[in-house]
Amino acid sequence: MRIAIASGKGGTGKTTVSVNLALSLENAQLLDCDVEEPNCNLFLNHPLQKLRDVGTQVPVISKDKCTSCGKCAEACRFNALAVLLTGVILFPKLCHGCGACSLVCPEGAISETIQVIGSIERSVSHTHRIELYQGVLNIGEPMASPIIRSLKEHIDDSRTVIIDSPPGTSCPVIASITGADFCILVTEPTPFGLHDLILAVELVKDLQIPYGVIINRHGTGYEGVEDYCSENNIPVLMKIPYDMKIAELYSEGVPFVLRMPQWKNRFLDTFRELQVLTGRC
Amino acid sequence: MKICVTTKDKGPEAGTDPHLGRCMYFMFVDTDSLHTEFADNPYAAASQGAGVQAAQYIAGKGVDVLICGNPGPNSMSVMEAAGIKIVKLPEMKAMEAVQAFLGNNDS
Repeated sequence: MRIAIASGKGGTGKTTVSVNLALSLENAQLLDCDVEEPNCNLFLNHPLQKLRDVGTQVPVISKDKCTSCGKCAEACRFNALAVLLTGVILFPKLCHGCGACSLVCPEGAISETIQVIGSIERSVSHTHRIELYQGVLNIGEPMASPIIRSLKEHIDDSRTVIIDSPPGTSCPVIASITGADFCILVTEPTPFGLHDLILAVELVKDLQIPYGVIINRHGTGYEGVEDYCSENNIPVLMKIPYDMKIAELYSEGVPFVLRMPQWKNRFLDTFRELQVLTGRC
Repeated sequence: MKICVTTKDKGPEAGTDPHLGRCMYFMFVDTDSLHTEFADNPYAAASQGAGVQAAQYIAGKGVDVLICGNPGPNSMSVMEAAGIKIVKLPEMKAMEAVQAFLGNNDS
């Protein structure tokens, strides 16, 4: 089963839920898809090894063959090419690597090369309870989705796969949660948390992924999130309290299920609930 | 000489827009004939790369000078390749910006 952990708002506890859920299971594979700032390993401290680079295609334009006809720039949906009388200017950071420019060039002046934008890393040791994979987007590179798609090629469906998604509701999130059997939306009990939860719910509905909510830092007095979930028949899978002990462990980089073993059972209960909700039990 | 000014509105009282890719209009002024015309910026709502396309559009109009508050790095490199001079001026009326540029250029 593939379980994606997403949220609208950042900083609500996606990684906390991902790592603690993964540690509560026997044989989980954890994919850190927040490739702009992968942070699951802050809590696991696995020695990592680089598996491979990830690149995207970018066009290479032959000055000898180019006639500045402008067809490539017209075809580019991402406005990555400017055509002047003197030739074509490419903006590689705007390029999505779709290859349309080379298809439409009537002069055969465009070929493609691979530009490395990041890498995939994995736990060195296989003796850990969790097999961790993380994607790393190189500094200055704007496109996270190609790394996320490459990372997901390493999914091992013989295990329970936990996918820690980036925040928001844009392309990298869609790349992360697509294909999940269930999506856990982590939120916090604040008006901001509710606002972005509603956006995230619209997204998972569009993608037709079964979903439920975990409320983190619960007990601060704001009821809006719970009211919204009950009005819309959204299952609240777990409430993690606003608790000093949990916060202290977090600040030390310690997953709280390791020191508060009763929570391991709570996460296992939630996992069983997901199995029921997805018809796997 | 042909001058392009990025503007927020159209007409003789139009104000300059500090943005290039996402300005609403371009004002084109021919300093020989003193003919002035406005055009919609077709790329104002582009999802990305508005500056690249706007710069290519301006270059295609045969512009010599662009007056704009703060063009982005991508559009600047297109302008440089096209040999268009970039003049950065604070927000004011577009006609005043043209006069300010011409005044400085003469002296």
